[in-house]
Amino acid sequence: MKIFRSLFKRGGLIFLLLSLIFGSIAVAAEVSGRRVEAEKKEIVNSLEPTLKRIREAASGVETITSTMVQEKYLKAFAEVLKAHGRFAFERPDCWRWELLEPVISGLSVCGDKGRRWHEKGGQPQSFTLADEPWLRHFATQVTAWTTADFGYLKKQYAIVLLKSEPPSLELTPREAAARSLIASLEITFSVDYRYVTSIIIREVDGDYTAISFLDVNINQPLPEDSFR
Amino acid sequence: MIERLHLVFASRRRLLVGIVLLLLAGGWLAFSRLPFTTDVAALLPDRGNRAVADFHLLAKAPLARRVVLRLRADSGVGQSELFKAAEELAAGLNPPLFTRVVSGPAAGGESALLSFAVSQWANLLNDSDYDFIRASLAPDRIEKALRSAYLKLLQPTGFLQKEMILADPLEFRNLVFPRLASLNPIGRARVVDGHFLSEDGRETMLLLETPIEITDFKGSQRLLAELDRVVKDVVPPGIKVMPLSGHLYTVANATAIQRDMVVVVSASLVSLVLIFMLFMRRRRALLVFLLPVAILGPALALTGLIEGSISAITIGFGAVLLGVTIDYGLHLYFSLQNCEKRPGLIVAALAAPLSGAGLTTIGAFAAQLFSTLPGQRQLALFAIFGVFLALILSLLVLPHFLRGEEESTEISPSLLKKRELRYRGRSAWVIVMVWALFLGLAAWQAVKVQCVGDLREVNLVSPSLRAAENDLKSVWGEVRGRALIFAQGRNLEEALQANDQLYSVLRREFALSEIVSLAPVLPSFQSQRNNRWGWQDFWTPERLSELRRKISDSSRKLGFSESAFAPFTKALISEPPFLTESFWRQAGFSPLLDASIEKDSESVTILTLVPDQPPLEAVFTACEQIPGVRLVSPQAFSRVVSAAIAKDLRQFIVLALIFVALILLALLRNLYQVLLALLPVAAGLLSMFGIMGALGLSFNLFNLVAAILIIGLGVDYGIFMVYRLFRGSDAATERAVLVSGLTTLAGFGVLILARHPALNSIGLTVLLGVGGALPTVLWVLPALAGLKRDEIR
Repeated sequence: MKIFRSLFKRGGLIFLLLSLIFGSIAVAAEVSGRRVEAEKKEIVNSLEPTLKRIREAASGVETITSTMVQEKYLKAFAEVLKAHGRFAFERPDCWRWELLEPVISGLSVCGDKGRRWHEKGGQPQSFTLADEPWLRHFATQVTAWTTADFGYLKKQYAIVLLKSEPPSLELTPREAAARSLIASLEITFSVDYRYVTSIIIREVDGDYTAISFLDVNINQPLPEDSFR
Repeated sequence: MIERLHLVFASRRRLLVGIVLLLLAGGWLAFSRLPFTTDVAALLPDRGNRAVADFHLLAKAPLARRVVLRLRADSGVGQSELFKAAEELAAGLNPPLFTRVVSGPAAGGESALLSFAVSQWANLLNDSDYDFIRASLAPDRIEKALRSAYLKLLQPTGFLQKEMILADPLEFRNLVFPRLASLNPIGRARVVDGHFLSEDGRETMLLLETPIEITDFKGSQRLLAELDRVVKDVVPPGIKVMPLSGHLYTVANATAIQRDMVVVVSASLVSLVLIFMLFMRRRRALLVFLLPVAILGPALALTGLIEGSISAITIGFGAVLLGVTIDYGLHLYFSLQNCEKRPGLIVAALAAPLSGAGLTTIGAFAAQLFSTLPGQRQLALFAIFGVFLALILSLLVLPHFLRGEEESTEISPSLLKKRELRYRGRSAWVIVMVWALFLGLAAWQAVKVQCVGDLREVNLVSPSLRAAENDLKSVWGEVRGRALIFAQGRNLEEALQANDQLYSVLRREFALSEIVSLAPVLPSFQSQRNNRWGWQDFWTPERLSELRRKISDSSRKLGFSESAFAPFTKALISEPPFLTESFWRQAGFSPLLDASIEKDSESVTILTLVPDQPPLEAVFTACEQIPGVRLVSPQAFSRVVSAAIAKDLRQFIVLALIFVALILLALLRNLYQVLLALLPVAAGLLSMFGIMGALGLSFNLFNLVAAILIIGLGVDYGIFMVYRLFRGSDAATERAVLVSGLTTLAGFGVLILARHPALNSIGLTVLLGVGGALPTVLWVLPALAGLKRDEIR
């Protein structure tokens, strides 16, 4: 009997201790949950003003030049595929995306037309976006990110504000076809909201590409042949 | 006998009128209950060739019954705006007028296309592809291909292409993707975002399906009005919308005919009133013009009793052809104005030439009973009944109501003498020589006339429609004029097998880009099985392990992981599911499949399109060897119909002349007079062909119908004049012939004022034919008769 009493006493103690621990955890979780909910609400509430601020700030941007670091984390490669290059943009829809290392390769697009070149490709090749479905898709994206065309982006993606300062957005594709390729995009803007500083493209199979734009110059004159 | 009958009915006019009205009313009532057909195939030869069957097959061309809607963007308008306008326009075009709108293969089938490109090699690739594959397996080619894959993955768009690059690093898809072009029925179209796009990137196209038949004028008007309304509501400025379809032609033709009828009927009425005022001026003369109207219904009813139904073409042309019967009334009218002779005697004297005229006209139409065109045969039967009824009414009924009472129109003997002298001696020679010279020139030019069987040639094609057709061709390539080849089987597999055989024949004669066929993307199961066996034989374990080793060596140097291309090497030996019709339907290709595959309870037919050009002649022979395959070429169809019309024309002229000559011989029993009676026919036909040849005009189906009129009228004029010149017939003959010719010109010749080619063709034929026959009757026959008399003296 003593043994049973002793066990009960100990069990009661254990029960009491456990109740205290779980109770504390539950209270803490509830408090924390409320805080997270509140933070989320605050973020959601602040999405539209943030987008508006980005749009306003970006509207004053006529040209952009920057260096670029691209890191591809692909299962098909044993190591990270790292590349350096340059990026240039001019309103309304001209841009140049150029890799300098480990290979020289680039694209420039203006309106419906473009050029591409490779290290061993000789002369640049001209193309029209109508003939290049992949590039057409990408060109529309680049122009939309750079000009902060949230009207277009909202149609294509569900947008969530991840962080306010500097603003960081997560874009999830709405269409099934796009969802089969891209899990999400993470776009971070500069502290003054005027331009994109980094993009992370997450694919459905877990692969992802991170692109950072460095040494950004805004509204500087561009060489005449930037997009030719 | 005629005189006796005239006397019998003269005292029983009311009874006669009663009987005639009863019979005519019965005829019209019977006609009103007849079934009508509007099948244009009545104008196609149905004997000794397959024109009718080909005509119905041609209507199955993908764009034959659809409305093609082109949207062209101005230079400041982007492609996305163009596509947006096309989508909004498509959304605005709804049933019941528009049952389906196709803007291109539906978007969203990308994953199916990827699967098609990288997993269907075993089913699709055959011996002709193995050279490419062997070359791709060379170490340097593999190294180059993997380097290219590496560079593509490094690009910003790499993530979009990654799955395809890793699944197919050696780009075997280049053997598969081009096959998709063979599904495209629009020559130079590219497909962008599920839309057809022109080469210059400025134009897209919508294909509209509608239940409105192309021959339905009112329906076509409604369809085009609705289209116009939606375009105005939806399409923004800067985008031009250009429709093209058979409905446009129908509306243009019917509108032109309506406009023409106002001009033609006005001109005709004014001319007829003038003729009436100048030559007749009696109320009873109006009865003459009622004769063809009265017999129209009964003649159609009799035709319908034999044929079972009446073609709208017979009704339309029949009404025109029966105009020839006015002549009988005119001769009666002018002769009966002579009050000094007993009417019975006048009618009896006219009975022989009237019967001769009627019988020769019947003989001319009887020649058309041997036509290869069913419409012509029915028309001939109808005309035979019509002329027969007109003859009966002219001999037995009309004389009782045309008798002149006021004054005599008898021409004095001195005036007759004076007239005769005009056609004697030198003046007669001059007339004959000038006439012979003219006919000689006409005969020289007549050989230039070409027969055209293409019914589209007698369509009204406005400059804007012609420009739209040309523009369509220059922007989109040959879209509407290609040859059609049908591969038929009891089920889809059988049809696909025939289609595969056909494709292998076509590949020898045409470039891949010229053939629109299902075969490259949907071979039969039999072909797919054969391809699989070939594929398995090719990928021996040794070849496969060597490939794995080469890929491993090259990919390692570029930093690829060991398993990067495992999906590729695995796909080479795995057996993909068979390509099926439902695969393509799920990939969004239903509109294109529906245009190519036709199924009914007994068979499946697959359509292939090829350019309608010379190599087709060789294909014809080869196609005949493949069971279930049938080739239809618009150009060959046109040639067959043209040849049939030309043959019909030759046969008709020879038979008609034989029949007419035999009747004339029986009637006149004098070869010289027979030849004289035939001269107006010869002159009319030679004038018509000669002037048409000189003007570079071609001879079509409508000319042929009108040519029968020329033969009928010409021989009528000839008979009456021969009776007048040699058999002491009434001197009113010349006036009757003149008025008859003038009323024909007033009734049908004025059709030359019409802008519609078919009406214009009839007007031209009548004008030239009667224009040649009338002077022959009025001047040349008297001159020849005069010369004959000079010779006798």
